[in-house]
Amino acid sequence: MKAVVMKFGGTSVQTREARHTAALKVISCREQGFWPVVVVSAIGRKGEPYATDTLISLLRDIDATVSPDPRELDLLMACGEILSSVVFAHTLKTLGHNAISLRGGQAGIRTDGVYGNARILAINPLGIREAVNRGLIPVVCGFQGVWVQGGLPGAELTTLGRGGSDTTASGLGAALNAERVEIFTDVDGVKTADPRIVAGAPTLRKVTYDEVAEVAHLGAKVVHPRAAEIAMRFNCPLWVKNTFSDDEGTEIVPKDDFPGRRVTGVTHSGKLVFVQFPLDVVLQNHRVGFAAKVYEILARHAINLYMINLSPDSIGFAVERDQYSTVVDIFDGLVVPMGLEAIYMTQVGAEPSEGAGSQIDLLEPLGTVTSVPMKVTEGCTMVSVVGHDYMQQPGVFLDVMERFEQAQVPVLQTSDSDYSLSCLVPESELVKAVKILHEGFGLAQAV
Amino acid sequence: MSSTSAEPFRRELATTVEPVVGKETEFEKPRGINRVEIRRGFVTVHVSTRSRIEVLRAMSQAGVSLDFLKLTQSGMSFVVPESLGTKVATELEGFQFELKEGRCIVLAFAANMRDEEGLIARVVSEVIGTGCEVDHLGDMHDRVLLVIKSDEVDGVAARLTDRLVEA
Repeated sequence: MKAVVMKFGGTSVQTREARHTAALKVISCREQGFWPVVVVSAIGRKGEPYATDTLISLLRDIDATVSPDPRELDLLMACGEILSSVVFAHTLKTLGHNAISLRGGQAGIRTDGVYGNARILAINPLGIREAVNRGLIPVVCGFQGVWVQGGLPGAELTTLGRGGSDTTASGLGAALNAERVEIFTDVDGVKTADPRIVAGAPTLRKVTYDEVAEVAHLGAKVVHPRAAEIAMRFNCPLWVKNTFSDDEGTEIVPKDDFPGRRVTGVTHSGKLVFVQFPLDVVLQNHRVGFAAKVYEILARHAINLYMINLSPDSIGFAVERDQYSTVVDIFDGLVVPMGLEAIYMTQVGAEPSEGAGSQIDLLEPLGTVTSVPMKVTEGCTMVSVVGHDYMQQPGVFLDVMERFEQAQVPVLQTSDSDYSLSCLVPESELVKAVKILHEGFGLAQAV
Repeated sequence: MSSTSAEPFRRELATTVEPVVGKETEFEKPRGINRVEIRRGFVTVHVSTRSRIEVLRAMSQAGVSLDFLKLTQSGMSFVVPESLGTKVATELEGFQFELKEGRCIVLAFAANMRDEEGLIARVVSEVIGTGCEVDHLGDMHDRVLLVIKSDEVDGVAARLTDRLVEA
């Protein structure tokens, strides 16, 4: 008998009814002759009482200006999955199937010591085997593992970061040599577009690991790339399914199993802010050094960049709106000296803020201070066409740009890769832009 | 169903459990840049135009696939294989354009680029820090791609390897 790892996300364990439905899927799997190993996320999504964000707010609400210690935060966040696993295990018990909840460490998941974004180093699932030998269905807490060299008695609890529960499921699937890993969510599988924007967007029956990773990279929440990568490395079949329907779902497959070119779908990122520094005020021989300093500081502050644009007369990039306030903090009044030759100071907008103005006053005895204004375009989003070897086709850019021009969707910037073509557009045009591309590439008929 | 009725289930499982992977296994790729590659033989094309669509149409009709399309204040720029440089120049007759030959693409690979906040900026910072001019830049889930001059590419690749690739 082979294991089937079944991961249930937040909405799948959100209510008693949802958990009941999910539990019946587990029991059905067992009745089909498999050995189910359940992985659960925290109950509910943002705003729900036991969701991870709600737990974090317990600390943030004490004093938002004091950052929680990452170790303490991990311990707190892990509670969401612990609670969820206990409730799910008991749900199975009430349906006549004895189950046992296991923390990540008990399931044998060992990680490195990076709190909040730990990587799995090894999995030795003896706890799962022991549970199964005792006739119990293991219900494993997603998103967590242990770091065994933390210097404190016992192992240190760590969390796996974004997509952590998917990663737990995929890792266990690999370690158990599972028949398959099933990621259950509240949609039928990988869609050609966000169904909230394109009603009736079809479910793709097969997508490659690379496609699913690229789709996630560009903003879609399907399967986390880490989970896809582990499944790919260990040749473990991976599925995305709907807890609340009997749809067969989407199978994630190696590229070799799915030859041929095609457009996979249209994705969109979240809310972005586009930032540009015109370099015309920076002396020619200082531009490279100035640009290097800007990116070095962005790296130091761990800013996630999109749509990077480098040219001799300007540099630009988009950042997530959540990180924009950090970008303002960094660049409003940032002094960039170029040896003894010149002093540059970045400022947000055309006029210096009070703080930036004070900086100029203080620095002026040292020499002339040249202000480099940061031009900001708020309210942007990124719409992308993702394709399997499709972007090398002549005319793809024309297709996209022509359709946007006809529909009067302004394109602020573009970027592309082997698998995707992305356009930065005003957020107000998001729905129109996604629909245009979905229709234009014939995705309503995709399978 | 009571625990009694679960007995057959328990016995069956106890005798049919597949052996698990007992030994510890390396699961995830290390953090950060794990390798650097170079692709040679490209040209960068800058076109000064207000009618970008016309340029894209000309390239499409000529069967030329474009990479690294960027919109600039004066028009647009893109990258094509060196073998298509002459064809592109012919198709762009009538447009004001500049063709920069001898370009390479440096690829810096990392697992789950988006999860490593600041990594893309760090790659860019390191590359610009060599003093080389970056024509274009793109990113995918597992790599950052930079278009630079051929005579600078080996130095850039060496610096990225030295500074960012874990031993």
